[in-house]
Amino acid sequence: MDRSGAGLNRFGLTLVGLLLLAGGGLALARSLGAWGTRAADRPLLSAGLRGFPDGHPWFWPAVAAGAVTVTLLGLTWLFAQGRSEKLTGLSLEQDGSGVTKVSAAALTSAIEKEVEGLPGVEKTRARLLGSRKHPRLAMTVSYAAGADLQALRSHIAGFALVGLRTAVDRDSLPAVVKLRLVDSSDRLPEPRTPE
Amino acid sequence: MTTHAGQRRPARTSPAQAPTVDRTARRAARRAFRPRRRLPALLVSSLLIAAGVIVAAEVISTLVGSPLRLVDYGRAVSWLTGTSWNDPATRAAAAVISLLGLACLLAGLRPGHTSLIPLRSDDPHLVMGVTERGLRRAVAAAAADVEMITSVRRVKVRRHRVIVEAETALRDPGGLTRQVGAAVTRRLEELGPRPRRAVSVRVRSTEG
Repeated sequence: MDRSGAGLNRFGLTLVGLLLLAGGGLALARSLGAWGTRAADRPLLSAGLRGFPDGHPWFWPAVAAGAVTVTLLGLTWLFAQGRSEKLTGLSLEQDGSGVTKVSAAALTSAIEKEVEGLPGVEKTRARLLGSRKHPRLAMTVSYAAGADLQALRSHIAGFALVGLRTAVDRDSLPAVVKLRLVDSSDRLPEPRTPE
Repeated sequence: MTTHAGQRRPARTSPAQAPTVDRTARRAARRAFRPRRRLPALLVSSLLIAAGVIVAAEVISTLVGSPLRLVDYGRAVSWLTGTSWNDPATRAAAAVISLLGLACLLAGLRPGHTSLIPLRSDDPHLVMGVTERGLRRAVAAAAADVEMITSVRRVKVRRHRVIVEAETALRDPGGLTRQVGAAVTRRLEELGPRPRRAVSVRVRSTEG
């Protein structure tokens, strides 16, 4: 499925977590007397610390620059959440005669139709993700209780995907398929399985 | 967890090495179905922006000579100079910050709950997963297909075990238990949910 931003989110959350944990932990340690009771008795903002910016004119501009940097990093991170790995098209290389462009929608709607024709399948959604060089297929298949899961699975793996791979002229197009059971209106007179 | 790759490269495995292929596919499946952690990321990035904007606005406006005074600087300074490191308020604040940090760290490091059960795949480039509900229904259908089973009361899917409770009109359900177990095991073998699950069957007789 779409993994855009997943790595960045892990990295960002881990980094912020480490910084907060280190800061909070050090403050807690000092307040509990890890550096002696005298250090613990001192005020948070000592006179020496308070006078620091007066003797160092670069201090406040540095703080401002730091704050602006944090804001920009935060904005970059925030905007990364809206990005998607979705591809709109693929370039197929042809022997000697250059490249042909194929729209992703044409490819995905072909495989969607193919799978939707199977018994019990209610809805499919296929997308091409990744980069033009390394595309991959993400597909969600919603099927009704009457469908044969095993038949569905083997048809997608053995037939629908092969068709798509042939269409894009690749031996291996990585694919992620999500099979979702959705309840249909015409339920089978079948096992009662309480949720 | 060193891989942050958004880009999944085709794994280099020969088709002959079936166990390796399966392991590669399984690893890919686990990653593909994992959450992207968008909600915690949205929250933390928004907080970072808010903090950055407030500090930058405050400091820059003061440097330029027309302080905004979003924060009562004098009061903050007098509180900081009047509060010692071992003050309960300091300890509470430090503890809260540590906990927030721990929460962020866990959100970033924990593998995250996957909502889909990966299915065995002979193709390292194909990752397929089914919802727990879907697997439960497939198991129930397999059990219900066994002759003399009148209804499947309950199917539980655990990480390493599938538990089936069924009913029969027969007085002695002993042989049926084995049959249902075999049917469900066969179905699971076909589908190949990972990790492999053992099957427990309980067949109850509805005949008094």
